[in-house]
Amino acid sequence: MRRALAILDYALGATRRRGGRNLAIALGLAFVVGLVSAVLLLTGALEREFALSVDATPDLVVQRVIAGRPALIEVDSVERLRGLPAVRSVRARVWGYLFVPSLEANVTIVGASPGELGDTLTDSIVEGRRPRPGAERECIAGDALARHLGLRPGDGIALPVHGEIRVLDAVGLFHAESALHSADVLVVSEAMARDLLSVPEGQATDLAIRLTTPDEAGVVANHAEIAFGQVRVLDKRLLARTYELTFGGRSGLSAIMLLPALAAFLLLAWERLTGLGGVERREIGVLKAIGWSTSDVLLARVMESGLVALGGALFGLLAGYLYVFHLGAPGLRAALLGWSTLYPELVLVPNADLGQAAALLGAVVVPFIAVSLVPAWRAAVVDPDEAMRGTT
Amino acid sequence: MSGDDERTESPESTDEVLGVSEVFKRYRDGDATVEAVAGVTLSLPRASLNVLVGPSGAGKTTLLGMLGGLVLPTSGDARIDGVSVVHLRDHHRTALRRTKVGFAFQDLALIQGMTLLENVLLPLTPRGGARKEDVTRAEALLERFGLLDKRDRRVERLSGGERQRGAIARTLVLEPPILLLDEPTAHLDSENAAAIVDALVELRDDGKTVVAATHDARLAEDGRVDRSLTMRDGRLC
Amino acid sequence: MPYTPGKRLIRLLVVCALFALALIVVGLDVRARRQDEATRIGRTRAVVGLLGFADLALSSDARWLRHPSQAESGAAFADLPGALDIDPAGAAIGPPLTLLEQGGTTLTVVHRSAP
Repeated sequence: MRRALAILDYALGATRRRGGRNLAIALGLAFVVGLVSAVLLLTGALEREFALSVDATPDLVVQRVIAGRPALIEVDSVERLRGLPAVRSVRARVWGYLFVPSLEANVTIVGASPGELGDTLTDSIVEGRRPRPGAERECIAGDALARHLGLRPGDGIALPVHGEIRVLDAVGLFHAESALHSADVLVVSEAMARDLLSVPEGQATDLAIRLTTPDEAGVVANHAEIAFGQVRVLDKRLLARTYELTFGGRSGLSAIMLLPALAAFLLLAWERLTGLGGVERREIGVLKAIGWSTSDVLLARVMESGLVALGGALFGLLAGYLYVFHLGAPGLRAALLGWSTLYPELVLVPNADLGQAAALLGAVVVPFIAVSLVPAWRAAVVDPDEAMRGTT
Repeated sequence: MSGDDERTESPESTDEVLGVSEVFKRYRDGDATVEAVAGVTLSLPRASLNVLVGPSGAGKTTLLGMLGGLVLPTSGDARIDGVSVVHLRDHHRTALRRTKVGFAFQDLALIQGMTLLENVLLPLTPRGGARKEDVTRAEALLERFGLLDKRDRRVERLSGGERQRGAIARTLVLEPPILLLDEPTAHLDSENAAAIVDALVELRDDGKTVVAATHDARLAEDGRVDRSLTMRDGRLC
Repeated sequence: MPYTPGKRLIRLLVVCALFALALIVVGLDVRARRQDEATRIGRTRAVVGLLGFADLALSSDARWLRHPSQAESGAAFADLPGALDIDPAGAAIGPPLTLLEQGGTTLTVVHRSAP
């Protein structure tokens, strides 16, 4: 123990003596680790947000497919599913997109029945008030939309439909808290949604089914297929996959793009360290001549590069955390989340745990120590005089 | 105990502390092979002051390295205190070297960026670092070589002579029975050189076996030297 | 500057302590965020329940970006759960067959020619 401490003391001195180089290496490592961890933290937090809210969605969504593409479905068909034993409720939803050129963005129009609005939305969710039953022009706007347009509760929104102007009253605004889901949403009455989206009376975008026993999903899906011919049934239990796929893919791509940077950096470090300038080789020769064993020399080396690598990587990890959760990951957002004009304010909760952090640290620190060890080992096992030769 | 001018060549000598038999050292230098030491046999007794003289490139440094187990001979045998170092494993050789031999080599200078005292205490690190009594001993050594006031100065801010003396002080901190020195009086003015020679004589009188390679007449021709060995082209002559 | 062998080790300890402190602060930050989340997620679920999608409003561009879970299976570059990937890896490691079968049509070959 005393030996290890004494060698650690020496290694600290050595780290300081080669301070410029070690600082450069630590900063390089911090940069790479910071970027990788930022990508992982950001995607992890988004996956978490999705996973935690996904069970509030309907158990099944039935879309009708005509010519291989989603098509409108008859509202009457609700009755054909409602009788099934496992089905708790079926609702024909009217929703869709409205492209607004001045925003350069799609607005998601969601038609809601007055009952639904009253049941679920409280003052802590909506600023202003809820649309009154029967007030067809009243709506609730999403946070990003409201911020982008400078809306305040009670303001009007004019939208051109079939050559006519419809004026909606944004009586309520979603709080920023739910912006990750509601940023670009306009919740309107069902009648207004039909009007805005050109969905004829008697038809709907899709059917949302809630079940008493989610295990029966397969049975209900089969029934839907028999009833409507070609359909696409979305099972809630499979939805979690969506974001794993999307963000797994995107973060994978970002990580791959970082790989050359990482490789270049390791190469640079290797080059720096294998260079083992004459001064350093002589230092190893001196240490061996005054009675240090090869393992003493290598231990000092491991400690030196370990301190540099661990310090740099840990710093990078902390910086990555700050960058994502306190600065909102500027720059990385667009690459990872997709480009948009209606940006939600991210309220992110870290999904990573200590184990993952340790794994990332290990994946960086261990190869780095190995890289730095090889040249020192080569210098330490040869005759000390050969290590310092060239001047004899 | 001293004063024997006969070269003791028999490895069987009971008083032998350092010995080599028919050692060769060849280096590969590109395509050519350089023979730094070519067939040297030597046996040195306890408590003797020995000087290796010869022009630079004669193989003095390499021979010193082989005597101390720092350099492995290409062929032949080297013994420290009767133990053959050639077939020892690296850590055993290191342990033997650490307990028996102190080196002060030209090229194995003090480590730059560290203070003089840190350098002197460096051999103690693998043993668990310097204790209070080690520091006291190191300071006594520095005082002996007139360096006590420089102890916290960084090596690169010392003069050549001061570094030379510091390197010798460092070899003594582990109190080895054998001392191997390469050009111990180089870079020193006559006053300092005389002090070094006096110190080496004193160490011999303390019972240490001292071998110094030099081309400095002030050391080679000092009357108190027990043995003066001349080297040329890798051979003793 | 007197010689003190332990000084560097003490400095290292201080640095380690600073890192540990930073990690603890991050840990507390994570905990605070997760605690807030418990109350927030209830309200978020209410919104999700009303909208009917858990899709994140990250992009307002194409519909397959805004609501990947509801996207057209036949569209180019579809990003839905059971989508066939556009990159080569997607062909090598495809989604589970059960996903592909959902909403698909069963195709059976009726052989008419003699074997």
